[in-house]
Parts: sequence; structure tokens; C-alpha cells
Amino acid sequence: MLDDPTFASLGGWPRAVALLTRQALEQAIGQFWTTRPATLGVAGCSMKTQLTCLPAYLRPDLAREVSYVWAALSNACHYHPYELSPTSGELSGWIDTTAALLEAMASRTA
Amino acid sequence: MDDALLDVVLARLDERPLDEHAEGLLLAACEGDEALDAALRGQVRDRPERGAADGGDEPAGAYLRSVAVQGFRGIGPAATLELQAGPGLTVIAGRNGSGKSSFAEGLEVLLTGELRRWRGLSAVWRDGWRNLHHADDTRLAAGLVLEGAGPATVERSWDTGAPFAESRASVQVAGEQRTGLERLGWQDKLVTYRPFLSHSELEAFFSTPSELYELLFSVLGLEDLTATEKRLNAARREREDGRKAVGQELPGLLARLESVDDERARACREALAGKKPDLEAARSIAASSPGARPEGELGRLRQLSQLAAPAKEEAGEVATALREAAEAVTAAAGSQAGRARDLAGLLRSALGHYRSHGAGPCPVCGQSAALDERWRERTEREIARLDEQSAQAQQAHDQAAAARARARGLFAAPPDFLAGPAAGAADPRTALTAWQAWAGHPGEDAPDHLRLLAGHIEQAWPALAEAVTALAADAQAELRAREDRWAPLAAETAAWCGRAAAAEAAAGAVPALKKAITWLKDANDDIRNDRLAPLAVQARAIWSRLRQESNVDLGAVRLTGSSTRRQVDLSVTVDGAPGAALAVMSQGEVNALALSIFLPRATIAGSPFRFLVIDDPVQAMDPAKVEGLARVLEQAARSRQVLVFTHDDRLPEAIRRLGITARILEVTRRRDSAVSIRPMLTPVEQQLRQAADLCADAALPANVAARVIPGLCRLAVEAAFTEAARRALLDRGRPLADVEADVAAADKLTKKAALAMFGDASKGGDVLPRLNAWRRSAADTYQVLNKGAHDAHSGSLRALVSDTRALTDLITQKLR
Repeated sequence: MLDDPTFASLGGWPRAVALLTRQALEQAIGQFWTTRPATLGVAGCSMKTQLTCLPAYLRPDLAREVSYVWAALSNACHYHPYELSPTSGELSGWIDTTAALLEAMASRTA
Repeated sequence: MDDALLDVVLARLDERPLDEHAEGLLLAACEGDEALDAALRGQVRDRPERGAADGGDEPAGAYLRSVAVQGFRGIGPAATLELQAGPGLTVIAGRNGSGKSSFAEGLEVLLTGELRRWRGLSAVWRDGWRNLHHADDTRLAAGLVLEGAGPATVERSWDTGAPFAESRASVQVAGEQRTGLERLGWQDKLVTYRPFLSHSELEAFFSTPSELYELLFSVLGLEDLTATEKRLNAARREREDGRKAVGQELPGLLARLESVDDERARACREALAGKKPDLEAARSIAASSPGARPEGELGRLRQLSQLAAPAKEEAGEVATALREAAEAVTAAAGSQAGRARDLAGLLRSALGHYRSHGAGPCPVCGQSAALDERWRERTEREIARLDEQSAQAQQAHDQAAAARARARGLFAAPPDFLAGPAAGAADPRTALTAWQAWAGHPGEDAPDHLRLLAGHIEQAWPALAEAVTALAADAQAELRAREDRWAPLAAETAAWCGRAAAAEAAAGAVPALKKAITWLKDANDDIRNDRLAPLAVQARAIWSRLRQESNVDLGAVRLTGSSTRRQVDLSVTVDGAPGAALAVMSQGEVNALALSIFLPRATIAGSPFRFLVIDDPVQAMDPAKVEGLARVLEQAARSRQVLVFTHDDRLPEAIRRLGITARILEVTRRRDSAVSIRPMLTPVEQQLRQAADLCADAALPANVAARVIPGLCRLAVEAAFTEAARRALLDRGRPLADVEADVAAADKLTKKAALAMFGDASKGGDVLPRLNAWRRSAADTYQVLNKGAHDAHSGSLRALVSDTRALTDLITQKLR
């Protein structure tokens, strides 16, 4: 979506990108809970709860970084009066960070 | 120059040597004015040893414990902002007009006596410094923790009606006498490491290139290098100016020398007019006495001035002698003296003849037998009589010869110097004519020449005497006139030569000074950028956080130029292409860049201020940058006490959203400027709230809740103990770095508790008894939490959260 110019003519694409990225991150977090039986149920909790619990199961600095990016994405997904949509630069930055986090989380799940 | 900096200079001298003279001057200039003067006078000193510098300790630091403001700006009745001494982020939020900025400004005025924001503003702005509702009693105070001294209170107050500039400030260190603010030793440091940054300053950060240069340069501690360069330059300029000033006097002096008709002036001019003035020659000419050199016009004038005619008495005597000799000669000629002498000669010849040939006839007349013995006797008697007669004639002859000889002595030829043209007012021609007339005396052939000579003397001498005396007087006057004209000029020339020689000698050091200056300029450039490098790295890291989507990339930060051309060289690329930093940036980006430079500068090692106060950094910032800002502040708060004042909720919101550990206070103002402060969020509260939220989430599996919630509760208690531990350790005046090391080393709850209670992390065994003494339930909660970290909690989690809240309240209350 970021690279394809056809999307540029459509309004709202930045939020769509943010939404998709956030979904990917949330899915990864959800998957993280399902990799161990004890935490299976956490995946059904609110995202806030999940993020609060994350440091207890994941390296704290990694958990913190996940929280930062999720909060930033979440902010970009919602409409805020007087705030403009995120720029493509910001978005690709978040995508890169999310990808890196997914990889890091996946390697910690084992 | 401080030893560390001198070491850098010495090390660089090893790498890039200077010649001995230039190096001596450089090192002397490093030492100070007196040393440089001595070195310029030729004093040689030993090169200082390298490695004299020790590590360079951080100065005694300070944290803030509270800021109290009364009757100042927006705050009426006393309001106190309680702070946690130690590293950490505190956000003070309040609407515009709530009085929050009055705390920031109050603190700045308290410590510095002024408000930077007011500089350049009209009096209308400044006059409102007293609070309208509480104008009689203005008082600012701050609680500090001083490294090595413990708690202290700084206070500043004004008398009723006193103007802003007339305040009294004092500091009270625990256990010491109340003293002036100089006790803190912060006067210069408040400028160099200024820990305050207001929004208006953010905006003005880049207003003048030289000011930004000063902001950065002052923290590098290189003032000594600048001072050294100034010292060398002053010495160089003094010498060059001295030489130039002397040189500028020369044309005037030459013109004056030319205006005087005097051979010495001409000679001096010739000596000085060349490409390289011959100072020694000019000086010796100017110093010589008049006519010391006999050649030339002055020598001639001197001879003329000493010229004299034969003395009157001598001339008279000679004339008399001539006349007397003439008389004697005449008398001798009239008598028989001449005949007698002739006759005596004749008779002597006859007597000779008689003796040779014997008696006989007269050889003259032939009369026979005329010569005989009787004739001989008679003739001898006759000769004796005749001899007496002739002696008189001889005497007259001799007298005439002597008189002639004396006369001849009078008639010397005119001296050579009398010939020739007039020398100024001294015209020798009349005298020459008279002299020639005098010398042209009558010859000695005439029978009456003795009388003629006497007549010549008597007739010619008066004219000669008159002409010669007049000439000598004229020559004397001319000499004196020339001397009068020349003497001041000679003095001036000699003095100038002396000055020129001195200036020339002093200027001999200029090439060495120039070498030292060039060397230092080079060194200055490198050294300052070496020192700036770590700061620049931090600035870039902060910028990369703050810039978010900005396409401006900050590269190297360098200080370039000097004096009026000094500036900060911010190398910036826009979408990868180099650009002029400030031209392409929005105001928000400029603010972010300013903050990127302010933070590393305010947190540099040399600063005693472990706190920084930032007033309203969010104003012109992009929403996305607020998140970056929150994380930058979080980073800075790891080693510094960061106070941020903000008028809107964006920063607190970002902090909450990102889960950044921080204390958030809200300032509100009611009628009559009554300001109150309410904690909105504390690190303890952050953990407790998260725990409570998890309790409320019914979907959370019990086993996870039982594991996570006690962990959060434990973190809340740890946070409470950590704050208390810092307070306790800091109050003892412990070194700040030690305090942070102790806090960091206390990695277990028990150690933190022991550190907070006893100031000693190893007294973990005493923690439970102390808690039990406080309240039995507190000890129970503590034990549950200490265990819960490792096992799932079995009891009620809701009860645990409220028990934890009670425990943290108790800790805060007991260990205040």
C-alpha cells in the first residue's frame, strides 16, 4: 500500500496502513500467548491487559518496545481532532519496527 | 590554564612541534599575562611536564527537593512543589494561567536573580513580577540536596515595594550558618550549564550564530585556550602597532629634515630615507657636536668664525720698529761709519800685504818705503778706531733686517677658506679683498722700503681688522643660527631613532608570535571539536528520536570560526542532500533541534546541576514528536532529575500511553491566585493502577493474574523503597554517583528496603522486624510480595492490591 501509487489517490490510506500494521502486531502478541498452555487465555483479554502482562513473560526491554510501537500505531489508527494523518516515513518506520519485533518475539517463544 | 587542557596542548606540541622561540611564547601565554611578558623580555623557562592533570572530577552536584513560591507572578499564597530528589522524570501540567510556569520562573529567578525570558522585553512585561493578590510578601525558596553537604535551602525575598533587582538571597546548608548564594559557587556555572530552558528560549536558540556558539563552547571548558590566543594576539598587535606608529612618524620627520638647510639634516635624511633606514648612522649624526667634522660648510664657518687679523699692538710695534730701523740706517749712512768700515777693510788688506811681503812701497800710491814698522803701528791704531765707527752702521743694518723679518710675518697670504662664496650670512669677500690688499705690501728693493712698509701697515691694517672682525662675527652668528635650527631637530631625530630601534627590537618577536597563534588556531579547532564530539553524538541520537517523520537528517555538529565569525556548523541533509539547516526546517523542527542540543549540553559531566527545568517544550511540536519527546525525556531522566512544565495534556498522555515511568503533577489555580498541586501519577501509582486494571479484567486467566499482579505490586513497593532510599542517602550528603550505584546494586526488594530504612543494603535481616514494628499487616504484605515474585499468589488479588497500596503509603509516610 505504501509503495503502490494507486493508493495515493485514495484518502485515508495512512490510517489503513497503521491499522494493518497494528493488526499484525496484535496477532503476533496473540500468537505469543498461545505458544504456552498457561497463557492461552490471555490472548482473549484487552490489548492493554496483554501489554501489561507481557513483561512478566518476555524480556522487559523487548516488552516495553512492543508497548511503545503498539501505542504509537494505536494513536495513528484513531481519528484525533486537529491531528494529521501519519506520514509515509513514520508508517514505514513502524512497519520496520513491527517486523523486527515479530522476529524477536518469535525467537523468544520457544 | 587547567592542567588537563595544558596536557592536550603539550601532547599536540609533540605531534606538531613549533620552533623553540614560538613554543616558549605559546606555553608562557598558556600560563598568563605575566609569564608571556617575561618570555617576550627573553626569559627562558622550562617546558612544563606532561601528565600533571588528574582525572578531572565531576563537581559537587545538586538535586531539587522542593520549589516554594509566594506572591510571585501567577502564585499568590505560598505554594510548594514537592519533588523527588534524584534522577527521574516529573511532568508538571497545568492550563495556561494555572501558575505552573511561575514555579519554573521562580526557580530561575531564585537561583540567578533574573529571568532570561525578560531580556529585551519592555518594562511593561517585567513590571508584573509581583502577584496582584499577594503583592506585599514575595518569597521564593527551594529545597536542595547538595552532594557532600546534604539538605540545603535557598531563599530569595523582597521587601514590600522593593523593585525586582533589589532582593535578598541566602542559602542555609544543614548544620551551617546562613550565608550568601556564593556558598554554592554556582554564579558562572548557572551561565555555562544553564539548567533552564523555556519555550521562548527554544524559539530563540538559533537567533544568532555566535550566541549558539557561546552556548556550546562555554560547556567545553576551553575558555583558557581562547584567553591564550587573545593574549598572544594582544602581544603581536602591540608590537606591530608600535612599529607601524614609529614608521608613520618617519615621513613627517623626513619632511622637517628636508626643510632645514643644514648638512647634518641632509645626512640624517639620506640615512633614513632609504628602504631600510640606517638608524645607527642617523643617530650618531644627530648626537654629534657642531663642526665636529671639519670638512663641509659648517667646518668652514667654524674656521671663519675663528679668523682674526694681526693684533693691533703687534702691527703698531712692527711699524714703529720699521721706522726706527730706517732712522738708524739713515744715521749710520750720514756719519763716517760706512767709510770707516770700508777703510778699515782696506787697511786690513794692506796690513795683510805688509805681513806677507814685508816693508816696501805703498801698493796703492807707490810711495816708496811707505810701509814699515811705524806705519804698521800707526795703521793698527787706525783700524781699531775705524772698527768702532763701523760697528754703529752694522747695528743699524741688523735692526733693519729684524724689522723687515717681523713685517714679513704679518703679511701671511689669505687662508684658503677665505676664498669662495658666502656661507649663509657670512660673506668673506670684503675680508678677502682687505686681506689681499694687506698682503700686497711694497717690495724691499726701494731704498726707502722700511718707511714704505711702515706706512703700508698703518694704512692697511684698520681696513683688514675691520673686515675680518666683521666676518668672524657674521660666521659666529651664522653658526649659532644653524645650531638653533638644528638642535631641536637633532633631538627629535635622535629620539625617533631610539624609539624606532626599540620598536624594531620588540617586533623581532612578531614572527614567532604569529607562528604560535596559527598553531593555536589550528589546535583550537581540533580540540574544541574533539571535546564537542560526544555531545554532538548525543544531540544526533536525540534528534533522530525527535524528528520522527522529518526528512531532515542531522550530521556532524562542529564549532567553526572565531571572534565575530564564530558559529555552529550544523551539517544537515534534507532527503539525503546537504542543505542549510535552519532554512529548511519548520519551527517545530527547529524547537526539536534546539532541544537536541540543549539536553546533552545541560547533562554534560562538568555541570553541578543534576536537575533540568524545561518549560513548555511541546508547543510547536508535531503530535508524533511528542512521543519521541517523551522517550527522549525518559532517557535523560535516567541520569538527571528532569522537570518538565507543560500547558496541555499531550505529553502526560504520551507518557501514560507509552508506560514511561514518571511523576505527573497537576497545577490548578483558584480565585486570588491560590495555587494547589495534585499528584496525577507517580511511579508507585503507575504500577498499582496497572495491577488494579488487571484485577478488573475478568477475561484474564487466573493463573496469569496470580503471576502478573503480585509482580506489579512488588514493583510498586520497590518504587516506593527506591524513592525513600534515594532520599535517605542523598540527605546524608553522599556522592550522587555512589547513591545511584547503591540504588542500582540493590537488585532485590529486601536490599532496596534495607537501603531505604538503614542506608545499608546488607541489613536485609532488619527489614521485617522494622516493618512489624510499624504495622503487623505491612510485614505480612511485604512477605507475600517477596515470595509472589517467584510463585503464583493464592489469596485474593484485589486484597493484595489494596494491601500494597496501604504498604506503599506507609513507606512514604514513615520514610519521608
